[in-house]
Amino acid sequence: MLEAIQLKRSWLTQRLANRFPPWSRVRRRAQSVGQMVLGPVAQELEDLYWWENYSLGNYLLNTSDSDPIGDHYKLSLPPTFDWRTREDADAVVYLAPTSVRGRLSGGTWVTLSQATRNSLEEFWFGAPDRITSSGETFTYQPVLSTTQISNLSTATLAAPAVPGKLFVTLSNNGSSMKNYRGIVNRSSILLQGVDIHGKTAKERIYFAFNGTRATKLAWSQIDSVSTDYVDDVAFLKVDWLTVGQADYMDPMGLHISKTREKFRFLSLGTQTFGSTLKQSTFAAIDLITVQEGDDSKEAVYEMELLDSAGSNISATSMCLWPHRKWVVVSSPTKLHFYIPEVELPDRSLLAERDTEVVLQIEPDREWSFNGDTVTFNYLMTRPFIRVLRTRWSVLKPSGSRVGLDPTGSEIAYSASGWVTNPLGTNFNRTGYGGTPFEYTLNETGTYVFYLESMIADSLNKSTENVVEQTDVMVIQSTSATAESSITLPVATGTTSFVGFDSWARPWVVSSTGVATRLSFHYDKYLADFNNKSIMVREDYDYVEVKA
Amino acid sequence: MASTKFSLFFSIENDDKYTGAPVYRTVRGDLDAHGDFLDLRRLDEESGYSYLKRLRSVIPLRAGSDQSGLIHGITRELGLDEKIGLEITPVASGSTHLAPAPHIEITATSLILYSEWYSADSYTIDSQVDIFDRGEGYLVGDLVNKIMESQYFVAELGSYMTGDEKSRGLFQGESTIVVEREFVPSASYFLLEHNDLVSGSVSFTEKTIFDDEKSTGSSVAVAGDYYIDYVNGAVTSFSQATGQGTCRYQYRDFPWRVRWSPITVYSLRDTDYRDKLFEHETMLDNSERDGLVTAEGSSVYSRLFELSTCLWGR
Repeated sequence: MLEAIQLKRSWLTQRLANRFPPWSRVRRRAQSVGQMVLGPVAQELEDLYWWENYSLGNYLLNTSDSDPIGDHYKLSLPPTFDWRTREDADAVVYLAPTSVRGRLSGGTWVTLSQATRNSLEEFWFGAPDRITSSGETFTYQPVLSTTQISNLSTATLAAPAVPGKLFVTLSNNGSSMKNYRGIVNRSSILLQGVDIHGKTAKERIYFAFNGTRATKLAWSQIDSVSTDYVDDVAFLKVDWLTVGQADYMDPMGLHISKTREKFRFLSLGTQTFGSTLKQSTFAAIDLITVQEGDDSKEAVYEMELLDSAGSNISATSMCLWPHRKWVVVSSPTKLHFYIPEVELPDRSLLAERDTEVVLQIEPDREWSFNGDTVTFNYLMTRPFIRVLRTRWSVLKPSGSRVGLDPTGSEIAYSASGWVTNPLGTNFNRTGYGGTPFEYTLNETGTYVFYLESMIADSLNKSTENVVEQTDVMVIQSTSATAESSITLPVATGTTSFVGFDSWARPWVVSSTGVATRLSFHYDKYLADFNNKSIMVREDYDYVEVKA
Repeated sequence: MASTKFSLFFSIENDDKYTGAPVYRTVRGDLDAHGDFLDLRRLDEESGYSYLKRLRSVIPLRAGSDQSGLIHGITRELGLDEKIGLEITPVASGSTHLAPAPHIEITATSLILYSEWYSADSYTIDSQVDIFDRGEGYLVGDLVNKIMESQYFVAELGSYMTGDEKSRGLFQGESTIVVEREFVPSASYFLLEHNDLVSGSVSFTEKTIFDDEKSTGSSVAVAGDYYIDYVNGAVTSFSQATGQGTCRYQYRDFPWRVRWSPITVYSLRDTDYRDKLFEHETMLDNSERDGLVTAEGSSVYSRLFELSTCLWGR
């Protein structure tokens, strides 16, 4: 598993948690103790799921990864070379070399880092370290520029610069199911032309949603594009690069909510502080929704995008890297590599939470942005309880802890901050019927909310077993820090975009419309301690190893 | 490339520092397994992109013992690309062509444009361009210009051609395709699978139903009369066909897309090619290259000619 994924919440966690009853905290909260236990299991399962998908793809020639583990370079070290070692109580362990560097053909030395945990996955499937131009450039032109269907007959078609599968994007098409004379028909696009092998071919692509689909055939020329049961106001684009689309369906991830599982789409968003990565969902198993052609997507998460140094970025485009786990985002001068999952809260912040806490915090979200207003409610996990008094407080990212009164206004956090009989008779078996309060997060970072409560059993109208408990809820800025932010070798501009051709080779298109194929480089090594050798991925003239 | 560079360089400053040149290695992966299955090995240091592209072409572009099969196989084995070389279309005149019966043929040495072509014995040549020798049609770009000089045809380069490729690489063939056997439906009016048919090329097995071809549809009046709309490939007959019969015809495959490969395969039986076989050749710098074979070469040729049923010297 990639190191970068280990800090993220797997989408599979919720699938496991959904085996619990709807009222259980493990099902409702990502930071519940139950989900902390399920998390690592879900991560391993997700990893298996991903690799199974990857292997299945490679099993079929038409979906094979064009860059599977393969070519590399090996430096054999002489028998006299000794690794550094450390003597533990029970064994002698090898230590990683203090420095490894490689000389590029131009004479520049670059520092090589060891693949994390010396793992083959990090070595081959990790984010790149360096990007150069391959020298291959074209004037960028899509096969069919974004065209309204009513103007399709007069649109011009260009040959794809790189022959291969094409990416067909349909947008603004109202319903994907059209009722015509009593028969329900699905929207489709028909491509006709010449395939990559020079044979006349045609392919029909059906759309159940607004978005992008790849063709099954590889094309070298498109002679005509026609549509069936597509709205005249819809827009169509056919491209040889996966660029400029509104939504990317994530083929390797689902969105699993507390109630149902859906397809996941990723897109870029804009906030005052910079760009975000949005996840929205579309019915996957709710077939009625698809049948009715209701393709509206529902936003679920939005993540603030930070570069590898932790600063906000202004993204120009994003795309999914085929056969890899990375989402690639371009900014005017750099490419950034992200894992598109939300980060888990720091569990040490939950230390003060009582395990059997009865009166719990019920916020309307667990991830938020600076400037967002969160609504807080109460959840009682046991009947026949009387809440004698409560005290709300919050530890802000800046480090100050303040109390909150029942309206959400900040007060001093002190012993006098207790509110007596706060819930009155508003609690019944269906939940809290009183007024929730709102609180606005004005700082970036992690907020920790505390709800201290004094509760008592309320049987036979007598008050017994008075206990004091604390619930803790962490609400943090949803952000994704780039694993790697690399400067592009070519000038691009603010309307540039990044994309992959159907052979999974990266391209960047500048604001002036020049498409340049990029070469990703990996300055990483794997050390084979027993056989005294170093494996690298790049064709260095020389590699220098210091034990 | 690392495997070819000087790989014995090393320096040991002390026992814990070493500098050396890494050596290229590869590990077998899923692509190589596909390669075993399709009998196509990875070339030395070949990228996954190139290998995957070649693997995906094995089934659509079958290698075989015929001319195109050999070109497909050799091109792929060498890691080269086939493309559409050029696209030729007859000039239109209304719903039909300006030339009465356009036809194009590429032989080993020339491209021949016919304004009228009905059979191997009945034709009129519009123009002929030499594609073998350095000159008018040696490069595909020049060939396109030569074709554009014709009043009957227009040509354009394939999308991925620069025009500087040798025209010899164009696949030999003809723009008129023979359909040996197509079922005739049980109807008195039907469309054949193709249109733009060659006049006089259509023959039916049901001779009693298709006995007397008329020049207009309205002349079809008695049993045995039939009319063919050659432009649209539509047949009208007085009697209804049984559905058991077949027909044979020729159609023009326009726009004609001619494939191109850097590999050229010639047949020693091809008399056009044999004329050029030992010819002096003009090189790029206008120097002459002697086309005579060496002693070793002539022994190879004579062994090949032994296998070929040719009459030496015609």
